[in-house]
Amino acid sequence: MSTDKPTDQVEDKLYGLLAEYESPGALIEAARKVRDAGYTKFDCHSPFPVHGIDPAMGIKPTILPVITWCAGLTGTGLAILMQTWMNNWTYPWNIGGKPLFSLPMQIPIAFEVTVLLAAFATFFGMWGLNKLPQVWHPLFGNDNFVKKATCHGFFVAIEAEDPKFDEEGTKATLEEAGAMEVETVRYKTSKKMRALPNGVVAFIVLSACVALVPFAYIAKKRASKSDKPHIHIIPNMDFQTKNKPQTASDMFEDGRASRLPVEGSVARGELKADDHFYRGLQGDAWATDFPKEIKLSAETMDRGENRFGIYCSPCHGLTGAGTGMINQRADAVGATATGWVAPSNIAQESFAKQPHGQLFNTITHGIRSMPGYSAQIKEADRWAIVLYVRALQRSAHSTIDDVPAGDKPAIR
Amino acid sequence: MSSSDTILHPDEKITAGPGVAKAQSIGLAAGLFLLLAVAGWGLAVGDGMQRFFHGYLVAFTYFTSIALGALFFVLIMHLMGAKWVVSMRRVAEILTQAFPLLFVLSAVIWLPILLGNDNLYIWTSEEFMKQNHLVHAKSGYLNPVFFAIRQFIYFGLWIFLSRYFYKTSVAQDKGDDDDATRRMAKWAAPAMFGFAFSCAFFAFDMLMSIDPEWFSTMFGVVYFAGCCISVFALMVLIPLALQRSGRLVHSITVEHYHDIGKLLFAFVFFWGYVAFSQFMLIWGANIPEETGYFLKRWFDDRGSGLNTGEIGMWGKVTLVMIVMHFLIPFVLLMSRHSKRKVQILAGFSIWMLGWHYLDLYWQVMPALNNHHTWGLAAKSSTGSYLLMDAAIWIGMGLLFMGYVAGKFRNVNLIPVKDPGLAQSLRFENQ
Repeated sequence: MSTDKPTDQVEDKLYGLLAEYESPGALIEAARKVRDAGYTKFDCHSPFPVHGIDPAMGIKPTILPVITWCAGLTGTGLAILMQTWMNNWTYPWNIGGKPLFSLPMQIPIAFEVTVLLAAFATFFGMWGLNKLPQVWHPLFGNDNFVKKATCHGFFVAIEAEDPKFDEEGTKATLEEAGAMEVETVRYKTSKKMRALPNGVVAFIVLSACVALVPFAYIAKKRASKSDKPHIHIIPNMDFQTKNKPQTASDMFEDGRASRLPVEGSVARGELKADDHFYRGLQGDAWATDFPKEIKLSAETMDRGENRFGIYCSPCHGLTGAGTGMINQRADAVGATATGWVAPSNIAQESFAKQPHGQLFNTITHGIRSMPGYSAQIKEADRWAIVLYVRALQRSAHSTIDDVPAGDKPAIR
Repeated sequence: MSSSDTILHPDEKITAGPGVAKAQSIGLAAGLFLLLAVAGWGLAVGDGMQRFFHGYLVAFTYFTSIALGALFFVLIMHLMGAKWVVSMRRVAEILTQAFPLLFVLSAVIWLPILLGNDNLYIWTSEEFMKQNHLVHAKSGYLNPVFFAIRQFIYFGLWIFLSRYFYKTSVAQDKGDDDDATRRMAKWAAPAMFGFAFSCAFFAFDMLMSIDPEWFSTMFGVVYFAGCCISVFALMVLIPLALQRSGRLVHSITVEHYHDIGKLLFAFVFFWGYVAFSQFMLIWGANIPEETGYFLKRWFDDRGSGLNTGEIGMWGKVTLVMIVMHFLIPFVLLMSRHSKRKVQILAGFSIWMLGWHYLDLYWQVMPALNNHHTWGLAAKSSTGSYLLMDAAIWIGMGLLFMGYVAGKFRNVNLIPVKDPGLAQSLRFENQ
């Protein structure tokens, strides 16, 4: 090795003073005195955590809980975003008729990710705040410290960098605080000594390379083609011995994998036992009253007008006279000649005489070329339409006497 | 009083004052009077008795949950050999002495059932059990006689356990029997098994069987979470009240309250965790015999909301519960500062005691199958049924308070000879 090259200067530096104390109690006492003397760059070393050392040293409560809290909230948010992204956009696969965005099923994942991120933040935050991992420390050069600090020694170390540090005065402070022994700690340092050892660098580079191998392998496989069958990592999950819907199965007599519901079974809320409300029947005859669930109020009337406008008026027209936009259009293109049946005038006498139940039934199942509307309009709304149709029929046959006295001048 | 060699502060007062005797007599008299008056009201109006029994069940399971929580508190602290809690433990031990009263109160539930009254549990009706195929197999378990027998078993076990731990602890005050601590720790382990099973099955019997078609293995745990919440809340409030009256001023410090606060916070979350787990599994599986329970507690009465999808009155209560019973205390109790500020902690304790009542109310009331008495807006000919529920709760609360206050007489409020007391007195949180 050539000695002519500008060599790495080895410096001999003063770290500070190291004082040993007899017991945890004495350590707390000493820490308190050092703190009161105005030192800020000092540390206590004990083989085990000593209760009460934090306030004695004047250490402020840690910011760690705040870090944990923020990381936890980030986890919650990220987990919900991730699941929403996957369930609603990238892989919108409906399972069991649930909405694609289903918060209850997201909670377990959100909970786990919250805990994961909070735990990581706490763990690594603690390392970061404590400047860990620390593979070397100037105190490691002190024999007394190395021998005792992890088994039975209690130490206070004040650093030379402390603004109040002054070798004689600080030594006196430590001794006054009851030190058994005070030592000056010096250490040697150079650029090379501060650098990471070559072995550690090599290890990090190597493990980073090894960690890339699986990704490289996956990338290669994704980009290339192969004649061999797909690799099944978990075969018994990919090929389950179960019956899938709409397939054949030897297990059952009828050879179907899907079972039919038990005869007579009714889905919850689908019993519809009330003939009057659901079918417009009272006994065997058409109902002549409205069912008790329907309130004969202005509100129901408005609802009926609204539904009539949406579902009925395209054909029957807003007055029910059978002059809706579709019929006008059919007339215009001459569809009547090719079999178009004009919608009825629902205000006509024969309809006005029909019982409520029959009108309800017509809306439900349709009549002649009119289709049934049971799929689009719920029962309560169908009854509201019946009510509104009654109003239309009444108004079509009204006389001047039906107009309130106050409004008569406006009509003339 | 404290002997000369005590390690307690020399000025410490460790026996209750004359106030408890007053609380005892007022509580017992007023509570009994109120309960009887409400029962009379229930008898006087048409369907009133049905609502009375439901309100009674809520109040009864509420106060039983407090005593059960206290028993759990004593057992777990012995089992873990917890030293910090020693200066507070006697309060919990005294609370567990409420079981004989609760047993007497339980008779109002099982005695009418034995006599053939089916106001409360539909499974007591033979007609129902015959017609409903879902519950045929349960009739061996759900029948009046076995139900009553089980109540004797539960309360017998609880009275036995609570007396053993209380008497051993009180006897230790008089001598220097350090071995008593070791014996109690040893027996706490099998006792914990007994407690866990009896507590869960008590909840199955009293609360879950109100919907006999429905079942959830999680149910007992949800009730247990409520037990813990109520007792940790009281373990803040009772010591605080004792300290206000000049007792245990030096022995219980903010450090003890802080730890109780941590437990209260933990169990607020635990409640949310298990209650949600129960809901999520049922929601996800979507099996009719399981979802019925939650449909009743979400849509309006007897499923008419199912067609419109409109959230009903109980659904709104559910949402309120999530916010009040879980979110608000969870977020606000998280901070160390709110647990170390005793006034804030006491506020949350009262808060949780209130919402714990609503939790049980929410479990019982939607099961009422009589539309005259169902729901929050139901009125009898003489007034709102809410008033009846509240009067039962307050009446039983007064009775409970009076009975427990009596147990505070003639006993040290702190286990003076417990070997862990010294550590408890100088306990500090880090």
